[in-house]
Amino acid sequence: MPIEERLIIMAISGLLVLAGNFPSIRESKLSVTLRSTGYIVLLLNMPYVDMVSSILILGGVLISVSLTGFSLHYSKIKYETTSLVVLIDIFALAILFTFSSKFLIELITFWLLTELLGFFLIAYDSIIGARREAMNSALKYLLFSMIPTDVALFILLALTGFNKAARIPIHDLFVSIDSPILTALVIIGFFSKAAIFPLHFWLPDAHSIAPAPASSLLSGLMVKMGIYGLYLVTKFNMNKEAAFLTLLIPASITAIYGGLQASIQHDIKRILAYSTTSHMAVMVLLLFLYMLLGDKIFVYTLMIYALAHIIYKAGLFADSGLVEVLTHERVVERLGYVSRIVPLETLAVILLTLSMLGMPPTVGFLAKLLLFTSISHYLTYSWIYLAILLIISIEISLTVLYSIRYLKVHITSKDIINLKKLNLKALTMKYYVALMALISIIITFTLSIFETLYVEEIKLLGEIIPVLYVSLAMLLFISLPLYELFRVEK
Amino acid sequence: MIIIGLLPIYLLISATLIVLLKLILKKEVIVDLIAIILGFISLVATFYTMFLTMKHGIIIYRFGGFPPPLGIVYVVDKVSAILSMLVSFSLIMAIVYSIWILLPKWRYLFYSLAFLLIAGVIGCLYTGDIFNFFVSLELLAISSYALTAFYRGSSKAIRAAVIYAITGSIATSLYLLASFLIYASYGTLNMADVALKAREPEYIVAFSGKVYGDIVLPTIVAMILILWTMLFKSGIIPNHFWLLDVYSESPTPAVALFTSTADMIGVYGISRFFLTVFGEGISIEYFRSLLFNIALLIASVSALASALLVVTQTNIRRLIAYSTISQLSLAFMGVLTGVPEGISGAMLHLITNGLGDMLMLYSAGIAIISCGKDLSCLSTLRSNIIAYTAFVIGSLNLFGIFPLLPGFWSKALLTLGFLKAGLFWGIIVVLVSSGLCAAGYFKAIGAIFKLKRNSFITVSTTIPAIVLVTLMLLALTLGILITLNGYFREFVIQWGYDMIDYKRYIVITLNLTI
Repeated sequence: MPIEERLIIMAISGLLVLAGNFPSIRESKLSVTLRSTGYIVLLLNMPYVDMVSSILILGGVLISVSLTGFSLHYSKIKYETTSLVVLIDIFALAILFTFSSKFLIELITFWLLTELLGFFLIAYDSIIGARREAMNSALKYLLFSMIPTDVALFILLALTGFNKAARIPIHDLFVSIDSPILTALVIIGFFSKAAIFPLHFWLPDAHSIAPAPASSLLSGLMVKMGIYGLYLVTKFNMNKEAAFLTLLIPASITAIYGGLQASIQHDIKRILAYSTTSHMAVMVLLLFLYMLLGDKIFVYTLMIYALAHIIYKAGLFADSGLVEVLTHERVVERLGYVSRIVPLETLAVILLTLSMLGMPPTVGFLAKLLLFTSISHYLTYSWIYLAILLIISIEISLTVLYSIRYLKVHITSKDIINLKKLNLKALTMKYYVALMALISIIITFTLSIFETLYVEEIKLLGEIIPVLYVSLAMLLFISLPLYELFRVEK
Repeated sequence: MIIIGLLPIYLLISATLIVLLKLILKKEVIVDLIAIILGFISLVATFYTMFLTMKHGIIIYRFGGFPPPLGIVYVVDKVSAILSMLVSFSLIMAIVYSIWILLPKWRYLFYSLAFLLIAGVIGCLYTGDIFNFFVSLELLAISSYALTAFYRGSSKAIRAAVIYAITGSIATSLYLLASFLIYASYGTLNMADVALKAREPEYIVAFSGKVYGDIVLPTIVAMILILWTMLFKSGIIPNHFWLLDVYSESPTPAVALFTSTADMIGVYGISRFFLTVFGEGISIEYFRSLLFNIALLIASVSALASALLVVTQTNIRRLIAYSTISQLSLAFMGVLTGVPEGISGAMLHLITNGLGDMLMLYSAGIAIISCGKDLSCLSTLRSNIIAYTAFVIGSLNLFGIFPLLPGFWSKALLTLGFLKAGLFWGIIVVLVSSGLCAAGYFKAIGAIFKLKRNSFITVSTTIPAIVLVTLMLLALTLGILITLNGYFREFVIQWGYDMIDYKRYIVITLNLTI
């Protein structure tokens, strides 16, 4: 079997990252450099895989690089050991390798490895001895996310046949899933990974109890694997009625339910976790539309939406980690003074929230733009599209609600409680969150300017560049005085 | 092919030889060495048997030269040969491990009982005669009762052994009753002959003629009784209760032997009896499908219920016991699909379960010696990298999540079998029960890495390390072979086809000229 370049790139990347994790150099700048280089090397794989995988790899690499330094500081400050860093790195690599897979058996191997590592990351607090409930959340994750996904994967493996799974690339495979029961099982299996009703309830506990860099990766990258799995099976010949019903109803429920739940949470990480479920539901609705209509624009929307979500969700979870280590507090009502201590961080969070809300010049704006134009194009065809648009609109308004709730952690006119108890060492992490916020702006411009590299049909992105420049100017105009405002109020 | 006839007798002689040598020589080291050599010879013998079955397909040995059905015959196909390889390998591992864990004074008794146990298991695997199966089954059973009571100072061990003995004798007596019924109606006890007569009652075979009496009712009753006995031997709910105490109280190498040799005879027996002897095409096909459905239901409930109980255990031995019940129930279900892929998956699952359980048991044995049977005691393994790696690989193998380990492939084959048989709920049962078991394994792994206890490993661990490394290498080699080599995968799937190919079995055994 000739060794493909793709595998060589993956091997080099893996070796670099592992080298950076050697115990003797783990805490130095050299380690961060080595590991970041390892991730960036993986970007070379992008030409070898299809479009959706390459965007997911791009997003994944960007946040993994940002998290290299973040997880080091977080681990040292909170746990006083650096064993978390190794786990996080291998986990990130496993997810990225899953997206780089060409053959089904490769995909399944890395996928299962990811799930296994995810379990130990969620249970990390329990193993280290800090919080025993972590093991319970991890067991819930095992039962309600790992097992159904295994059902889906093993059914796909069995239907493909072992020899084809190892020889024929996934995108050339053609599998026929005639039975409605099997179709439903496969779809629900991937739902459990993306946390869609009815297998959604493991996610809030798991993502809020995992250490912050783990939550970033779990919410940022791992749930996308469920969407990726669903995207792969859209190519297969499924039982149409079963597929449509199974896709539409749970996703619609989750989109609204997630948003509602996020708005009433007290724990900052739970707000973000429920928000993830509702955004995943929107992505499932996009896939549903793609299956129904066959128009590629929904795939492009899905890709950009996923990229936006990866960046802002990972950034927000990183921020929650910083807040938690800084103030030893996770309840919204008891926070509100973070902007006075770390104004840079607040600015970064505002940027990331803008991305979540879909404001220019962030990449979330691109996603929202594509979302609305793609659905509106088909509005007059049937009532279903209007209904979906309605659901998405409600979801967006709920997003505004809970984004404000999250921002309250940073910007409220509250006095700093317990000045002495603040752990100022946490301030080292702010640069990484800021990096992620910056990435979400830079990537917007990169995508718009290079849009012809990807998509010929969407001239749209090129046309909005003036809007992006204007909004960037406005942003810069506002942010400097804002920064001064926060700083002065100390 | 005299080797297969000699092997059980050789094992019986070894058992006696070891006791005699100990009484004559009185030096333990020599007895240990001889036990290892004798075990090694049996391993070579089973390898040679495997080689012969690859060359000839099915090999026969006629005891005393008498042709079946007049005399007793050993019939070995690829499945029996592979399972016997696993059995002799487990024997050697158990002997080596027992050198480390058992007191030198009593070790020779363990060796001789182990050899007797293996003689019974190999007899069950190789035999082609229904009554001879009973004899080997009894030999296997009685040796296990004695092995359970090995720590004869412990009242719990005695209690476990007595429960096992009484209920086991009842179960094997039910099998004996079944064999009486078969003899009274078919007029023969040879498996191939019964297989032929069940499908064509009017066929005249040399020495046994036609069917002797009415075969419908006796076959029905015999099938039910055999099912019940095999459920007991593999420890499937509702016949599982003996397994829990036995696995808790026996010495570690004995439990390892049980899980990889004796307890798989239930699954093997079901496949031999329900797929080859009373397989497809018998005159009471309607009853056979009904019985299969009932048995599938029982096995699925067993798999799920025992898996649910795995995660609640605080005693590492009971955790492994419930896990074994669950895995063997899954193998049972695989056989009952009746589809070649499902059957191969079941046989591979027996091998997976044996290897995985041995890894977990032998590494937990180190913790039990240093600390105790409680789950928190596993944290003593933290200092020994070989021990905890072995434990993790064993659990990953049983969970079936890593393609480079055979557990993944046995799960995949079972899934394929259920898919082909149209039993979609079976896929959910397989994956849910292995997932639930994994919850228990991961709890145990979490206990290993918890920064809790202060107790350390106080003994030298070179011997267990050798055993564990050998087992890990074997598991990884098997897994890598299956992953990378398509021919090996085909070979594994071929086992299932062999099992349901009753025509070839009958023709070769009875030397018919069809």
